[in-house]
Amino acid sequence: MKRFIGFRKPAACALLAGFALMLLAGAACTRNKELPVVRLAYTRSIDDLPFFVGMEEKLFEREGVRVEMTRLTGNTSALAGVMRNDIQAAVIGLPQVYSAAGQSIPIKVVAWLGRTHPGTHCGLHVRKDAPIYDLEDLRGKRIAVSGDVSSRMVVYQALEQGGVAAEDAQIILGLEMSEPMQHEAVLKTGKVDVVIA
Amino acid sequence: MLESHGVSRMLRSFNDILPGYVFTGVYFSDRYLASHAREVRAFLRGLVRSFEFIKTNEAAARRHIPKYTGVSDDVARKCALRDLSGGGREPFEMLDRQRDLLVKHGLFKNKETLKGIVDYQYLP
Repeated sequence: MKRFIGFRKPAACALLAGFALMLLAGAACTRNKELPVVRLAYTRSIDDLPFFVGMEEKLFEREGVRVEMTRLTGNTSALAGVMRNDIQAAVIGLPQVYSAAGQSIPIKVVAWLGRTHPGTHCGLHVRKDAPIYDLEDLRGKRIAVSGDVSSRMVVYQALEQGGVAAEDAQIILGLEMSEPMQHEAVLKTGKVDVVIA
Repeated sequence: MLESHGVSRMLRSFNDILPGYVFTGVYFSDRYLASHAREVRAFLRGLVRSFEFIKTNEAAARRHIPKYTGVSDDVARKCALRDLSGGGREPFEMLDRQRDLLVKHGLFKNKETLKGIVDYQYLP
């Protein structure tokens, strides 16, 4: 009889422990579901890494909010989503913040996602074998810039720093290059000498 | 990180041209901020925790890049991350340098101010 009870006790304990674990897991799950949700529009940019980390490491949940990310491209669709409250937050470039300020759009930037530093790789890229070593070498070169105003500003500033007048370089606007492979392909064609990536 | 593909080399970075260049920020609507300040504060506490995580566990943070961006593991391990030491805050005068360049190069007409559109009060 004792042996029988001895067998049953661990079994009962195991059952109870399993049940308790299920309750705990269920409670955690319910708690997560009960957390307020912030829907956030993101791009596929590495600059959005703090969001990815916050999601994956559950740092937002630990602070009492569940974040759901929606991929949206274009400032206009993100802004429309925020204004309709379909999404609650989105990412915006600094030039667009100034534009929004000028138009009195009722939004607030509540945090910046960092700044560049000496190890930054974003910038003006040339073909590996191109005879372009300094900013003054940009004279007469074809520089592909997407519609992004930041990229255009950086190109104009680079030309100025190199002592090159903007009209002495060929700035090619409107090439949509959002992926590294597209930048690479454009450079490989030889039709442009510089891309901003 | 284009140069990692072997086709190009970097001539100058954004940082060479304007040190401490700020690309993006995160925003909410005024209406949502007025009605959900608690949620926004919680979101920003989580975001600042992310900044800290990236600074102190960089390798672990980088492992999350491919899933969301589509870049390869190799690029994710080497690409340059942003300087997050500001904890979400950047001085207005630093931001305004970028505006001044936009105006100087004829890309903006007016020198708008960020005073009414940037609000750090929700950050921890």
